[in-house]
Amino acid sequence: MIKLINATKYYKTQGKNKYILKNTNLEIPSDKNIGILGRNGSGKSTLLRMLGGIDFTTSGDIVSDKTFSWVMGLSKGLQPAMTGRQNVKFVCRIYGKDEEQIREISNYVKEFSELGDYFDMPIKLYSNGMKSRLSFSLSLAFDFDYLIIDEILSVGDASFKKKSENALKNKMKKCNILIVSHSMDTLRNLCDVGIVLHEGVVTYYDHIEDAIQSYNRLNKAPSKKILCSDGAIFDNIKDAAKHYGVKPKSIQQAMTQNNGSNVFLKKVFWFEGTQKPEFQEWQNVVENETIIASDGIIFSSSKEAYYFYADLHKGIKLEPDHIEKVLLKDGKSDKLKINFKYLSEYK
Amino acid sequence: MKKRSSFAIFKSSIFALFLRDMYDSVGIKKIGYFWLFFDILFVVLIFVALRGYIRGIDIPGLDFIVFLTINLMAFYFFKSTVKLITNSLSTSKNLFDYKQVKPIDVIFAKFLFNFFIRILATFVLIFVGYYFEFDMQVNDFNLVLLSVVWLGIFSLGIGILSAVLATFFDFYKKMYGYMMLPLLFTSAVFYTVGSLPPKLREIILYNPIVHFMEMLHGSYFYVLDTYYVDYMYMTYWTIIPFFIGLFLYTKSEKNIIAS
Repeated sequence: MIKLINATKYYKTQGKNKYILKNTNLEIPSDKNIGILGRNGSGKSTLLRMLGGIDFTTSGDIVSDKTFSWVMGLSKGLQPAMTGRQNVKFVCRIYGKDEEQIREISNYVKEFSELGDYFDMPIKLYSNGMKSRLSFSLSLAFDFDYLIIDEILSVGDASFKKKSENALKNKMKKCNILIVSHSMDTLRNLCDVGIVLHEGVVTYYDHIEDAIQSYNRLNKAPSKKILCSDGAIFDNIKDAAKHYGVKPKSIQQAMTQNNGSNVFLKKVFWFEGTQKPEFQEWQNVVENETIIASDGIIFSSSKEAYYFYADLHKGIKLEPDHIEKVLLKDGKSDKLKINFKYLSEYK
Repeated sequence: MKKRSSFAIFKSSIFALFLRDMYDSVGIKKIGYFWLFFDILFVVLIFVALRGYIRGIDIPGLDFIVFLTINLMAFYFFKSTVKLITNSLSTSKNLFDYKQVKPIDVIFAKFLFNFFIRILATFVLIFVGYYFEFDMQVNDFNLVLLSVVWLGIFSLGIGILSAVLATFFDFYKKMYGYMMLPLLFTSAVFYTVGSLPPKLREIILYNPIVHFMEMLHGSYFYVLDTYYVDYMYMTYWTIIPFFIGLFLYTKSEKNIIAS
């Protein structure tokens, strides 16, 4: 549990106090993955740092009995003149690990980050991607109650991205995350609850979707109509999804990840005022891995699908390999009442 | 993750920072060890070489090169400690991203690291001295040791105070370099206080470093004494800056981390 008691934080800018928190009383329950939303400069990162114990309130308190990681994503804490291994050892020593554990963690980081020989070379020779790979692997090697992630999540090339996403999801079984992100997809994927920061006012939402909606209202993004290739016009994604009988995520996926082409409906969606895109097949299909469900959603692996449905239907008991088993048979899941198919076989 | 006592965190953090300083200054090449000492010995070499040209400042009964060397080593120990600690807070800002690392850990680690490599450098010099058969006999070894350790604590105190001031006053940060400059010539490094005219002597004895220098070479050489050393004055200068520094530090620790 994280408790904010009368927490106030402000910066002085040109004689005026700019508030990030103003007399905030808030209680965030345990075991929730928390997404923090807010416009640029509203103090999201400062709030993260305060929760992580490396920044402090001007008055009031932030109390928690949990352990927090360092702020992930920025590779600021790495010393350029030292090798990757030395940097890893340094962090291990700060956290009071003994030699045996240090060796284990170094080996794990070397393997996971795929740095190879570069692991024993000074950090100043690293590219940005290598640096972030190192610091990402390093933060996975420790056990915290909360991982603090600032913006940057997926780093490196496509294969590493996938690997790190899976590793993070595995990690999230044991710990929770606190994340700042401008990517609503990431937040929807990872978070349970949301916090919206706006001009010193902190609002807590029990569901991330509510937080996102209130954030969108803050942004006053003019709601554009959505057009479909069969001529229909919708106010928002939800209406469109209802109309075609698929999950909203399906259409959202199409619009954000596949230039508007929905493979399941064989239709193209685009925003009012933009050009109509051509229909195309799903990008990056991996044979015997990418799955399409009968509610229109595409998953990059059966594991991802499992996480999604396990989260969605908390009442139904799913085994982790349920979807894999179903796929081996005929693809029909009686529990979920959904059919699964490999995208490569889907016509 | 299991909870650790704050002293255990302090210890592991200082240990990690110490090794980090070591790695950082040595680098991954073997030549790094050379630069580690060269940095310190260079000043001594320069002044000893100069001494070859400038004659007439000899003190009868002792080897002036040895006199110069120990004074310079002691003075630069003070100077580098204060400088390292003062700069450490701004150069180690990235480290405060790990919440276990507090600024005071950085300060202590820098101090220990500096102390450590300077002791090693002293051993190198002793070795060189024996090789060239200098007269290095020590009069009162215990007092010499005490004066070095005392000088270390004194510089740590001044360093902490200076570090806190430098984080909050840009003016101090700019001026501090200039304040250090005349110290080399007013700290009894090249001469003894006894050899000065009485009026100048009175003024120069207000400089606390003079007392440390006098204590050091006064107890090292048989022919010199510690007549002008005021131990109370040294104690004040050790305790007062140390406590003011620590007091200001505890008041402003959060600001230093967050700045």
